[in-house]
Amino acid sequence: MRVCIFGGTAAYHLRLEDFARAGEPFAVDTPDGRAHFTGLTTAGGAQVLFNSRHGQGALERSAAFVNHRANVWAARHLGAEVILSWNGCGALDALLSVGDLLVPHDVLDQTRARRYSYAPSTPNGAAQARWRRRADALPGTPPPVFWEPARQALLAAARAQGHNVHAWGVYACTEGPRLESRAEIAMLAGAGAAVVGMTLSPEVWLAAELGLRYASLCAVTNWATGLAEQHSNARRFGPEVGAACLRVALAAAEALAT
Amino acid sequence: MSDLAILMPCPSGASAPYATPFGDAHVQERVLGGRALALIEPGDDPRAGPWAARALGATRLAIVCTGAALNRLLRPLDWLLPDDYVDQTRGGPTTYFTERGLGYVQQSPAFCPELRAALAAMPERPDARVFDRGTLVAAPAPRPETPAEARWWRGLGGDVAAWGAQPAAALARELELCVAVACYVVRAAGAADDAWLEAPEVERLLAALVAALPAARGCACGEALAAARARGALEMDWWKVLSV
Repeated sequence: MRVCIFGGTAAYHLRLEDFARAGEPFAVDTPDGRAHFTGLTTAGGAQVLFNSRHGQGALERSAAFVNHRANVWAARHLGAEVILSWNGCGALDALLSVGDLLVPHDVLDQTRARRYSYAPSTPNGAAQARWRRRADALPGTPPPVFWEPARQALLAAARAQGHNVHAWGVYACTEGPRLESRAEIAMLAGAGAAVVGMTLSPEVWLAAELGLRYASLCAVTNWATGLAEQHSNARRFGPEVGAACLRVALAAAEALAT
Repeated sequence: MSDLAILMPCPSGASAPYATPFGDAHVQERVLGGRALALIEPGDDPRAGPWAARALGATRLAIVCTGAALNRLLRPLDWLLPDDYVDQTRGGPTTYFTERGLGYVQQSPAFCPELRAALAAMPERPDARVFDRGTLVAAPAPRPETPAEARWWRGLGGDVAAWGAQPAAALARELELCVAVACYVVRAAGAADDAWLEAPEVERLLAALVAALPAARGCACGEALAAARARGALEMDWWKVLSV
């Protein structure tokens, strides 16, 4: 299975050749703009596509402005069947610790100003029928949100690399780019969210719409607003977070490729 | 130049259109208690009002709005000065920094403590109490809340459902303004309007605010984007060159 990795937190700081044999970066023009990729060949010989969501060299665009439409469209165009991504996120669940990894099993979408579908307008019968036809045209039916074999591959790779990794959790996606207020975090915690970030929506919905299988790795970078007081002020956003996530994602991609 | 701006719908007196990159706001400049003051009527785009405040030289923005009581302790004619909020607005612009990466603007404390303290100096009356804390739910304007929404927002800890406070306050923080909200309770949730925010009540609030607000800022609101500036992602007069 051809895997494409969407790199999140600190991906823009990484030297890809430190992790795999890296080809020349290239761009794909899509109906929604340009997407940038690098082809990677793992030590085990798996061919993997890589895209850094937030740009190259520096945080060029915050999570609210990632061009998910171009990235997902281009991944599909390049033949990817599975997307593995990583996301920095804030912790809500008291059992988490900063530095933990979590492979979410569900998403609570609280974004407000994004485009959720390749269909041209707001959901209606015709758009839904088109959506279903397109999804059915691909082998297998896309899962509701995350594809279990890819989730299991990420979990196994993270465990093998010695991470404290959690197998379940609801990811709440907020609009940003501002952080959340304390009352908003309390609301999301009450609704069952374990972690909060700004990236996964609409990426997961767009991937499903194009028939791509999807799983994600959440890196707990800090406590969500108002929770640091009872837990810790620790913050982990550095290149080591991106490096750890890329190693896990590459190992999972290798396992899925064979 | 006014260091203090007030964002409020329909101030009494004549306002002049004030052009911003996000359409016109309406501005009325006054002197009150020896202090220059800009009363700003928000435009159609929530980005216009806070931008006008910044362009007029303001460092502080008080947002005056009306709301419905979710908390049954509140009565019409009360003032609530929230220290936290839940933004339930949607679809509109939420930031001045589209298509860029500036990191995150912290929302704790959600509003400027100094400006809130100055607003809290307003003298209470038996029928017009001042609550110096609480959670404001920014309702999706302009329709009234449904009973189900009121029930849900009350469950979230919301004390008032209000219109106009967000996303204006979050936008003002991106402009590194001090921002605080004074919400005037006009009805109970689900009920018909029971009170109107009248000019004398606004004057009472403004007089107390002007008298109590220290001349110099002692808070961290002016540094909301310091991290982005430190790494060179933001120019000195970045807000002047914003466009739609």
